[in-house]
Amino acid sequence: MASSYAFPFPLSNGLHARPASQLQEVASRFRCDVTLVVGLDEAGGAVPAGETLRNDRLAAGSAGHIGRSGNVKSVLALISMDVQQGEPCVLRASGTDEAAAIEALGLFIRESLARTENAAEAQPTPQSTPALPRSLTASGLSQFFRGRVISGGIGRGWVVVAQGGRPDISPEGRRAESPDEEIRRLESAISRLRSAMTEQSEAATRSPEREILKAHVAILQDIEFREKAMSGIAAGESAIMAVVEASEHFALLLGAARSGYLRERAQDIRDVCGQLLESLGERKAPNTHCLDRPTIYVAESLAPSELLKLSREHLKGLVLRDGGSTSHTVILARSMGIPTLVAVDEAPQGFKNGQEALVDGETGIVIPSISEAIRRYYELETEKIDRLRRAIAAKRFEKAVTRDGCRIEVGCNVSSAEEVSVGIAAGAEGIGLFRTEMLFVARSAPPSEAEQLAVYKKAVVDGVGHSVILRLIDIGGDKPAPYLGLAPEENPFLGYRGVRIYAEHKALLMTQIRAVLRAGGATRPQVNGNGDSVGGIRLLVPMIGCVEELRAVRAMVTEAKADLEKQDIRCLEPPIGVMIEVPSAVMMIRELAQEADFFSIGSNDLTQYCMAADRGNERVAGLCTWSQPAFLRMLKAAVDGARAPGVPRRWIGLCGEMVDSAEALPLLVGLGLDEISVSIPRIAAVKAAVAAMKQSDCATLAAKVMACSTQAEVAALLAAPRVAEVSLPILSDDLIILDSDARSKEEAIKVLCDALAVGGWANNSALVEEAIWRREDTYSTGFGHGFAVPHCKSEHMRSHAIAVARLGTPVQWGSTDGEPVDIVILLAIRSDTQERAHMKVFSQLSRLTMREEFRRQFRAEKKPEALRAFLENSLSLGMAAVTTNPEISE
Amino acid sequence: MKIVAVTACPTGIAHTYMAAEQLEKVAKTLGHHIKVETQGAMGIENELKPSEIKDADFVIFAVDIAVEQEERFAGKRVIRVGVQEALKNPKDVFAHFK
Repeated sequence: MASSYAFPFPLSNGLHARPASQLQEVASRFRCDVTLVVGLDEAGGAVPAGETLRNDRLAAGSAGHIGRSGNVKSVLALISMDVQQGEPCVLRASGTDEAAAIEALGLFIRESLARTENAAEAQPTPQSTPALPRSLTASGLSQFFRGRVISGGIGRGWVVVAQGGRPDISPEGRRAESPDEEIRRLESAISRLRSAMTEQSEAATRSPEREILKAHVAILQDIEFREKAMSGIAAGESAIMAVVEASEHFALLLGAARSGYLRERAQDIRDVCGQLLESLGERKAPNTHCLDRPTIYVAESLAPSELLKLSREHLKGLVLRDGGSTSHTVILARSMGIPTLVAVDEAPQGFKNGQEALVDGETGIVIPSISEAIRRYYELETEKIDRLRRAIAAKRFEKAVTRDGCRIEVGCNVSSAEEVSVGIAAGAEGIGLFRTEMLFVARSAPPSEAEQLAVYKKAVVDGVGHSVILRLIDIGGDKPAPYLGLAPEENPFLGYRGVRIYAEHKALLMTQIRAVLRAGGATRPQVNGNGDSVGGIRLLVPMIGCVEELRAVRAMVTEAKADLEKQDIRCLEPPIGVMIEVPSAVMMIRELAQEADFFSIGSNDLTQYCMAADRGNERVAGLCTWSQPAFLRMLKAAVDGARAPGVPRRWIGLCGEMVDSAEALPLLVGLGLDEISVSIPRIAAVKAAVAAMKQSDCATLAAKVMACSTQAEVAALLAAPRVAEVSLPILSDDLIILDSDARSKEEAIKVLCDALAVGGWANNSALVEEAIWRREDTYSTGFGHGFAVPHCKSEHMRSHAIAVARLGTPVQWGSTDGEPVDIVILLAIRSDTQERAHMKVFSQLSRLTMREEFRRQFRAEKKPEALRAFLENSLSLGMAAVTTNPEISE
Repeated sequence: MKIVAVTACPTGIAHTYMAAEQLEKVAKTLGHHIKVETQGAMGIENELKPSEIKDADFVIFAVDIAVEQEERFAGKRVIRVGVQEALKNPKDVFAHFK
C-alpha cells in the first residue's frame, strides 16, 4: 500500500516553476516513485495514479482539468499539471522509503511551501484605469488596449509582431550523427550549462535572481525534459533538433496554462533551451527583426538580449503581454527611454504587422491602428511633452535654491569616469558618489595604481571644478571579487564588507589610496567663500560603524601620502568623509564629526540596517523602504547630531534611491542637507522641483512626518505636501495663442491646458483639462458673441492663470446663442488658496466679457503682447499686482 | 423700482460675476435701481444690508445653487432664475415684475 498525503494547493499563483523545483528537490532525496494527483471526484476518491491524460488535455486547452497526475521528480511534469490554488492534491509515494518521503514532503508543504510565494508575485499589481482625456476620446478613439506603464512618452510607428515559435536551425544543426554521439553531445552540453548556471546562481547577490537560476537548473536536469529530448534522438534527430522539439513541447504546454504566471514561465523553458542550443554550438534564434522604419514592437515577452538587438533608432514603442515591472527587459526599456507598456492582454493577437500603431506611455494605452484625428491629438500631445522636457532641461544649470533662499547642491551618482562628463552636462553640481568598486569586480586581478590613477584623473578633469566624491572600494560577500578570496557568507550584508576588509587587504587599499592622492595632486582644488574646498577629489569611506575605523583609514591615507612624498610624487591629501549607512555611525555622528571632513548618508543601506530588512529580499521589501517612520527619524537623528551645538559643521550629502522619489524631496530639503546626489536623468527635474519649494514649508512638513506612527501616515502626508509653489503671473504672453488652428472645442481646451503645463502653471494638464470638462458638463461656458470662458478650480494648478486662444476657424461650443466660438478665455484657479486679491482678477474679467466695447477691443488686438497689455489695463492691474505671490498676498 | 439680487454659479469663478454685470447693466437701461450680491469663490461680496433688502421692491435670485442666508429675504417677492437665464435673456427676468 502506497503512502499518501492530501492537501489543498496553497499558492495563489498555482504550482509554478519555483515551488515545483523545490518540491522536486525534496522528492529527489528519496528512492521511491512519487506522484502528485490533482482533482478528486465528489466522493473523495482519487483518479487512478499514473493516468497520463494531462498533457493531451492541456495541449488541447480543454476544460478537463479533473484528475491529472504527474511525476514529482520532474519539474516540468509538475508545472504542466497547471495546479491552481485550492485544488485538492494527493501525493502518493511507492517504494522502500515511501513513508519517509511522504513525511518529508508533508512537512515541506506545511512548513515551507506557502513561504515560497514571493511577496511581489502574491500581490497583484493594482491596475488603475484613469479616465482618458476628453480631447482624446473625442478624436474618435474606438479601439485601444490598456497596459501598465513602464516608461512614459509617446511612440508612433508600424507594428512588428514578434515571431515566436520555432527557432531557425541551421542545416548543420539538423544533421544527426549516430544516436550515441548525439546523446554524448547533449549530455556534455547539459553538464556544461548546468555548472555555468550553478556558478552564476551562487554568485547572484539578489535572492530572486538566485531562485530563478536554480529553477532554470532544475528545468535543465528535469527527467521528463531529458526523456523527451532522448526520445527525439532515438528517433534519429540531432541533439539540437531534439532540444528544439522538447522546448516547444513544454513551452506549448505552459503557454496553454490558465495562470498568467505559468504562461510567463514558457519563456523560462525557451530561455533555458536557447542557452542549451548555444552550449550545443547552435546560435540562439531570438526574436530579432531588422527594423528599418519607426516600429512599435509587440510581443508576448521579450528577453533582454533580444531587446538589445532591436534597432534603437527605429524602436519607438514596446508592447508586451508579460514582463512584470522588475524584469531585466523592463528595466532596460526604462533606461533606454522607450515608451513601454506591459500587461497588455491583447498582445500580440490584437495586432497586425504593418498597422500604424501608437504607444501612449502617459495614459497607459496602446492604439493598434490610428486615424487622422488621433494622429492630430498625439501631435499636440507630443509637442507638449517635448516642450515640457525642454523647459526643464533649459534650466538644468541653474542652482537649486528654494523660494526662501535655501540652497541645496544637486549632484549625481556614477560608476565610471565616462559618466562624469555626462552628469555635468546634465546639470550636476558635483559627483556625489563615484562607486569605485565597479573597477574591481568582474575581473581576475585588481586594477593597478596606474589604471586607477587614469580613471580618477579623468573623473576630476571631466568634473571641471566640481567636486568628485570617490568612495573607497565597497566590496564584500555580496559583491565578490574572486582575487580577494572572500568566502561566501551566510549574511553578507552584516558581514565582512566595506571598511571592514581594509586591514586584511591593506595592499589593495594602499594602491587605491595612492591613486586617489596622486589624482588629487594632478589637479588644483579651489576654496570658496566659506573656506570649504570645492572641486577636486573627496574620499568617502563606506560602512563606517565606529570611530576606530575612520582613524584606521586616515592613518592609511597619511602613510600613503608620506610614501608618495618620499618618492617625490606629487599628491594631495583629500578631505575624508564618512558614509553614514550603519545605525551605529548615526549614534556616533558627533564624535565622527570631530574627525571626518564631511558626511554622505547612504539611504539604501541605512534603511536596511535600521529596519533589519535585507534590501534584496522581496518578502521584507515593505519594511525596507525609506518611508518607514523609524528610518526617517534615524535620518533626522543623523542630521541633528551633526548640527548639534559644539559639533564642527560638516557638509552632509545624501545618496540613495530615496532622492529619486519626488515625494521624498521636500523631506530632504526640510532636513537641511547640503547636497543630494541623484541619478543623472533626474538632475534637471530635481533642481526645478527644489526651486518651487520653500525650505520653511519643507521643514514644517518634515517635522510633521517625524511625528508619524506608521508608514501609511507618512505616505498620506507626503501624497499632498503642497510645499511646491511657483510665482507666476496670472497673465503671460506664453498663455496667449492668437493663431490657434484648433479644430474643435476639445482641441482648444487641450491646447490651452497644455500651455498651462508647459509654462509651469499646471502640474498635470490632463487633470486640469478634466476639471474644465466637468464644469463644461453642467452647462456650456459659451455665452454668445463668439466668446467662451471655460474655467475650473483645480488642485493640479500651481498658480492662477488666464489663458487665451483665438481660433482661426470658429468651433461649436454649445453656446447659449447657438453660434460657434472663436475667442476662448480659460480661467484656471488653484483650489487650495483662499486669498482674495488675485481671485478678484477673475471676477473682474468675467464682468468685462459682458461689455460689448471690451469684446470689440479684445478682438482688435493682433499681438499677444498687445492683448496682454490691453487685459492688464482693463483689469487696472500692472504686472506686479497680477503676480501671484502668496508671501505678499496672504 | 428698487431691486436687490443674488448671483451664484457652480464654481463661483465666472458666471456669478457675469450674471451680476448683466443684471446691473440691464437694470440701468430699464431705469431700475439695483444692487447685486455675489456669492462666488471669494464668498459673499457686495453684501446686501438688511435695510436694502427691506427697502427693495423685488428680489432676483440668479443662481444654480442654494442661496446663502436665504432667510434674510423672508417675506419678499422673489423671482428665482438660473444663471444662464440671467445671462441670455436678462430683460425677461425683469419682465417678471410687471
